[in-house]
Amino acid sequence: VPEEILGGLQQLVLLAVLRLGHDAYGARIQDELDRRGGRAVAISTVYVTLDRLERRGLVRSWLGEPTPVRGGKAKRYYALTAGGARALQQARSALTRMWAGLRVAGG
Amino acid sequence: MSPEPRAPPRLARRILLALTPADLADAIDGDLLEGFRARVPDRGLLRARLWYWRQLISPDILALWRERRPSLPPPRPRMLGQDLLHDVRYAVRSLARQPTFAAIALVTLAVGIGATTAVFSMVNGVLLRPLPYPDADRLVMVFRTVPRFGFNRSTASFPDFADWRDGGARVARLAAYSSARLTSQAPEGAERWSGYSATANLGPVLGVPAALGRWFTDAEDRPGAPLVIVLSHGLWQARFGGDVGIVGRSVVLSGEAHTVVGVMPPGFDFPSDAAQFWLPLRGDPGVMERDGNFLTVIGRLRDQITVARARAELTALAARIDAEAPGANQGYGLFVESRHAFVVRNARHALYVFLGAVALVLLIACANVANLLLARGAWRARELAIRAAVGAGRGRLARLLLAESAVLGLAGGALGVGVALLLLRALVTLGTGQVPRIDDVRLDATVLGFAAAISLACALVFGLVGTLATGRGDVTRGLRAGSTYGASVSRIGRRLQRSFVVVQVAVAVTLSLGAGLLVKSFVRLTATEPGFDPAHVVAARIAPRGATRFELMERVLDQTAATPGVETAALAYDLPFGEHGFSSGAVPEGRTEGEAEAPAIAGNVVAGAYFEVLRIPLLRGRGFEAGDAVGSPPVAVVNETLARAFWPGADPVGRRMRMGGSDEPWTTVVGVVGDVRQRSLAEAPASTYYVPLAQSQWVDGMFVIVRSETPAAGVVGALRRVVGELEPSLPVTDVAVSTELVSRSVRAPRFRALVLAVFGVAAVLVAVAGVYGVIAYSVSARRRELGIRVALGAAPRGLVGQVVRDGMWLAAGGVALGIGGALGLSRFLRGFLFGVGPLDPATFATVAAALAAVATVACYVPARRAAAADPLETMRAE
Repeated sequence: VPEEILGGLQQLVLLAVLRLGHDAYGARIQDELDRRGGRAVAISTVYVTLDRLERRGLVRSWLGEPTPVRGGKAKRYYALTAGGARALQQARSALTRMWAGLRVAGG
Repeated sequence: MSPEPRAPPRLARRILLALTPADLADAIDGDLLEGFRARVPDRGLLRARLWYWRQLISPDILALWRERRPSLPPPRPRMLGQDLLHDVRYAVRSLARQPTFAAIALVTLAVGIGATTAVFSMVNGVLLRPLPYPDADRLVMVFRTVPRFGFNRSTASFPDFADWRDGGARVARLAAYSSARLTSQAPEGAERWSGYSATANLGPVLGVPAALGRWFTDAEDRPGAPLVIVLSHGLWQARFGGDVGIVGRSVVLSGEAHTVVGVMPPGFDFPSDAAQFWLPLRGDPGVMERDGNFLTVIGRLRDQITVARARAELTALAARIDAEAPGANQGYGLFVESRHAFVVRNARHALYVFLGAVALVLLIACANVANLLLARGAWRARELAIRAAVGAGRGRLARLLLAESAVLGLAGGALGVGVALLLLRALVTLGTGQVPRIDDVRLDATVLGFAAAISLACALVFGLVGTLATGRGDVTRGLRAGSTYGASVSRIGRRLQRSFVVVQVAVAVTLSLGAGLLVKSFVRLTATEPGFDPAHVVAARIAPRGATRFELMERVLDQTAATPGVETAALAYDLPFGEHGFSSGAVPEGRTEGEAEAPAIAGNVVAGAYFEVLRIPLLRGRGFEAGDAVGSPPVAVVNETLARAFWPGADPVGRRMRMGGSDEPWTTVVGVVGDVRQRSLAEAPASTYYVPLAQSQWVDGMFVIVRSETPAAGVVGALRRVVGELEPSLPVTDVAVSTELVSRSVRAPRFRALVLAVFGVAAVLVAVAGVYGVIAYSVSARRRELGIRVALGAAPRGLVGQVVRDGMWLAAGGVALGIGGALGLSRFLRGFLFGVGPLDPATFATVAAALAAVATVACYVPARRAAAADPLETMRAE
């Protein structure tokens, strides 16, 4: 299967998971996308993206502990796989190469 | 609502969980609860809840579900349903991206579809839905016609009916009925019930059995049979408290004991909803005269017999019978039509005119939305070209556009049903009393199906137009064209746009002309002088029986006239705009024409100060006096029209005329009064004579007419007291306020004018929006060109003129076409016009000028804006 290019939201989600480290679960990722990434998305969108990334082997997930504030519902934690880290690197270098020597008006 | 104040919305949570795959349900539920609780302290409960709800509004909810089902193939080779879902979702998103466009298109469609649906539901309820009887299409009405009086639907006599029933049994089973009234003596006072006496076979002919008990039998429908009565559901409820033990009970009505044999089901309102009871007719062919025409005849056709066949056979039969009994029925004919056609006869034409008019409104609305889509399609040419470039086939692009149209059409239709509900309520309120069967009008499955069908038809039209104009698959042209600002409607699209504008203006002109003619008719009608002064006149009817009834009427008149607050009072057999009038043949002395050609002339029987009460001017001679009594020579007062017809150029006072047959005495004319419009403002005054009550002792009841400044309720109360003191068993009925009678007579024209005027205004608004839109669009497309011209020194005013002229050509074409349309269509309005020809030049000129003016403004505004813009800025915007 040829490597596919990461979608925009997929990159942001991977970066959020990376940044959150041991605390990367749905609600925090959604929050991080909103606050830092400026992308307010529905929770289902977060999970659809995570799900696609997981099926491509870029993240893995496991069930965590339930907490009272969540009404006793367990968290599902996510972390980058080696493939996920590689994909982020590739996306970044592709972007950097594409941006080399460019300027955009109106910034 | 929820037990815990800080809980997330329960419904939203349930929906979310239902849509979430099981292995993610807990995680998502927990995340949302966490997110919700985190938001409550900062942003408040309401916003937190809103946030929670917003989590629902995401197409990815379904994606999550779909993608995780292992049995489905990966997204690339989509299945039809998924493709459709995708198309629809894409369409919704792309419409939502341009909310102004979507809103205008939706509102236009909702109005067009809503108005059409509302009018269609009236047509459906009144004209299309069968009457509420089994096999209602087999029911027919049989009428006498009297061609020389212009009567098409006259009643028949009992001997005639009996002959038709027996002789015509092969083609139809005939029944007959006539109105009847009964007095019920209640502790609160006498009450008059209206109902019908009918032949026993009326029940079986209609095919509706009694809800309780039975209909009356042939044995009960014979002369001398014991009296029985069948009650309506309404009367049974109102007067007998819905007592199920009523059948078999005896009730004293009009002084005679009647046995209740049955109660009809609710909703049975034959022949009108005024029917409270039905009695056996108990007709006696040996006693009833052949010229006593009082029966309405209805029948149920036998199998295989058509209305035309029944008409032919019954006409032949009647002609044979009439030939055997000459005299009575000389010059009469016979007419058969379906019951349904008879019931809707006055409404049919108007409703079809409305349906035609509203279809034109829908046409304009569609043209407008198609124009909007064309303009938008130009903006999107680049997007579509890109899609084509990355491999979307032409069919795929067409489908995208069709999906968008379908979403627009269906959403517009859904909104339109809402609009229809509102409009329908208004139409039913306005049409009550004007339109038969208006109670049957509602939004039912047929109407909803109709709304869905026209919505889809509209969608198909837009979709095709859009595809035709933009989905040409010329990738390079689209890409290139898209780079210059908007100037990319294909030539075919531009031509379509312009023809749509012409059509819109044309239809708006046609509709406005129709509306203008009706409005002018209505104004003329209400400005017509009725010939009497209806203000402050109240009337009510009494119908006493027995030998002393005339003394009683006179005493009621005297005491009423003496009541404080009453200015003058009179008695009359009929009121102007009333329903009791009679007519008879009449000839002036010395004329030689035979009886058969004697024209029908309206008559009225009066007593007291009738002409003063109604302020009908006495032009010559005198009114009635006390000396015009039973034994003295018969006298009459005639109106101007009759005087002119009988004695042109001569003084009628002192001349003699004869009313009725040749055995009637000669009557001397003692006075001439002004003409009165007797039936409606639209009808020219008929020749009318008045005779004094004292010399016309055949009348069965009289109106007491009072002129008084006291409010109507007070006058009626006083009248009831007078009657109650003189004869407690005598009911006071048919209370009428003269001004209401007059205004009721113009309700139908007002209804028609109002409906058509609303359609006309809607059409003009939509058409103006259309002209404005196209000119604004063409100006924006030419902005660069106009900017360059201004930069090169062209006077802005000249440019404005050029743009306006361009638009005016379209408008002028539309106006010309619209006038042509109106010339062809206005003849359908002929029957509704009063004092205005269907080609009234003043109306045509006014409407055409008004629309041209409005169109000019619609062109001028965008043209002005373009010329006022800074040329440098316009060019830089590229």
